[in-house]
Amino acid sequence: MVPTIKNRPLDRIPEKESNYLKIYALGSITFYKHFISPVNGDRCKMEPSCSTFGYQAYKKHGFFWGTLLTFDRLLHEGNEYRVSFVMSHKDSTGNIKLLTYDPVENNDFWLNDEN
Amino acid sequence: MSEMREVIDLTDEYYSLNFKSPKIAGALSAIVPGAGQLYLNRKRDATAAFILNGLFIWGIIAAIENDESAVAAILGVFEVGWYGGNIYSAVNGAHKHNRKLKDSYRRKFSIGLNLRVNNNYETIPTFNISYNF
Repeated sequence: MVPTIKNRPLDRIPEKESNYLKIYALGSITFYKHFISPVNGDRCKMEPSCSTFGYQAYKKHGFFWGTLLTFDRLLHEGNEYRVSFVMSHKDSTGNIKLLTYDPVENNDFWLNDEN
Repeated sequence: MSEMREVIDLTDEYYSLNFKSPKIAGALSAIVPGAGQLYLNRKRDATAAFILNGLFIWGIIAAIENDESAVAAILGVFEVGWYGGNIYSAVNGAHKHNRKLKDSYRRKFSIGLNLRVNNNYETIPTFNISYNF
């Protein structure tokens, strides 16, 4: 078999779900980021943070895949350092902490081929 | 000649890599939440998926038994997310595991033999050999 290099444009993923659901999800995350997260504190061990990841996932893939990606992110925090890069990050107080780099692209690279 | 032997050995090594099946991982997690993650040896993820799905299902059952249909509906919406995310997490984990294996194999191939492996995740690896003269 002759190997072929597949083209993977991300906009090929069909977005059939209602736009209202996507707007509702993005609004909820924005509300969380502005009003709840500052009180709750910065405790996410990953970069981007889970709420930012969720926002980017909904924006990029719509409601259905965005929901799956966001819940997946909330579940896979524990073991991610084994398969992704770990980076150092200086927070607003000057403390350096280690964060696992796990953007949306790290979780949807196989999605286009499946669809 | 020794380099040729090395190429053959490294090519054989590709087929002995411990790849995980995304379909098996997803199916296992669909049957028992967390089982697919356990198959991928991601024990923390497996525990999180099992406990969260278990708690939400338990909450839904308890709410239905107490005629709290609104609570059951709210918990149900979240449970759909946890259950779907659990399956996606297992499939995604298998793809990430396989990608990491292929990347480290490709790196080893390139460093050890000074060869360039073609960027192709989907099929068998191919490579170019270049001579400087």
